[in-house]
Amino acid sequence: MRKKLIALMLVGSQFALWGCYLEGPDYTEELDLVYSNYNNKYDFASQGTYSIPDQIVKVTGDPTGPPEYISPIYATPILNEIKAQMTALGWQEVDVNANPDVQLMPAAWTTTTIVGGYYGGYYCWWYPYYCGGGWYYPYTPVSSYSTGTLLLTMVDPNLQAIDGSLPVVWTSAMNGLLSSGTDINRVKDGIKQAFKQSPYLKTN
Amino acid sequence: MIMKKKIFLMLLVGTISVGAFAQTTFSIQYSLGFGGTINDYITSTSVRGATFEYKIYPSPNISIGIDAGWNHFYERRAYDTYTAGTMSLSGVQFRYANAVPIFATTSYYLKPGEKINPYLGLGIGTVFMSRFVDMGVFRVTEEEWHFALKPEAGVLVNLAPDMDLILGLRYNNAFATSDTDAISYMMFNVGFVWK
Repeated sequence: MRKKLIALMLVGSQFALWGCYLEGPDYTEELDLVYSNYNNKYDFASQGTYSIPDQIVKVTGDPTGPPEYISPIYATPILNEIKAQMTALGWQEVDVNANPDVQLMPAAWTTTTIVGGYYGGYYCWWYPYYCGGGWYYPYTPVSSYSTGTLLLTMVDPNLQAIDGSLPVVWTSAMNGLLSSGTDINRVKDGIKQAFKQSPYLKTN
Repeated sequence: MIMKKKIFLMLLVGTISVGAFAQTTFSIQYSLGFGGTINDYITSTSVRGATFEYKIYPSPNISIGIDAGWNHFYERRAYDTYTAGTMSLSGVQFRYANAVPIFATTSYYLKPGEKINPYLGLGIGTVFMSRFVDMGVFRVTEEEWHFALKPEAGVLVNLAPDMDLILGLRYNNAFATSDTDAISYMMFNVGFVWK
């Protein structure tokens, strides 16, 4: 009997140790993503000039309202980083009225996802029941997280369609969980990565 | 598929009917998962796993039974760029897999009644494989039941008249389905058998 108990305790202790094994991200930066895609029939190498607005459109989801722009505190370093990367690949910035080969159009938005939580069961939302471990006051534990996305689109104005639409030749999106303080550096790192993983953008 | 179900049912019914007349054992084992083609997805060893076995001995040399297990695999893939066609995606990946093998089994014991009793076994059944990849705040999930076979070798070490230590190595081989590729992994089990 004693041996059986010891054996059970040995097996049980192994299972108890499972809880000590941590998984998942430790830092906000580990959730940063950079996506890019391009038209592989487009000849980037033969282009050389680009234009870019001096503001970044804030996508609000309301197409009827006046356009909103993100604060220059954030927009300026972002635009400067984009320009630095374009210069490094051989591109020259020109005014939008100077017939640029391509136009870069940056846009940004934030999304907040609300996660309705519960403790031990949905009934714990409403009643001070015994919820698997103690008595609790009624509450609705709700958490949320916000992500920021910077979308960078490159179009060729010389390929404008009859309906006025411009073909996208390259696009990149940087997405990450918003935090305080270091977000702008993370966005700049994302821009660097977007260009790094798009070597075909290099011009002659 | 119908043939596979018939074999599984025959083994199950045989196990239950023989159980009324023969010795039975129950076992709980700690399971390490490693190797096999699951390495293409997660290279880390699974340190979280368990196996439960119920066996019936119609003769001292032979057992039939059922077992069920679980292994959790996890790996953090360092920041990297993944490219498909013209698309590229960079980020840190967190990969998870849960494998739940359920088998009807039969084993042959080489030295029954002795202190150390090696055995060879075979299992037929299924492996439920749940895999998901987290990248950013996004998750891609894939879940599938696979038909599976399991060869096994191990040893029983008698500790007491009613208890053995078991050490076993098995190869869980889950065959391809119409939607997913075949997947396999080794399981090293250590635990106790109660008679």
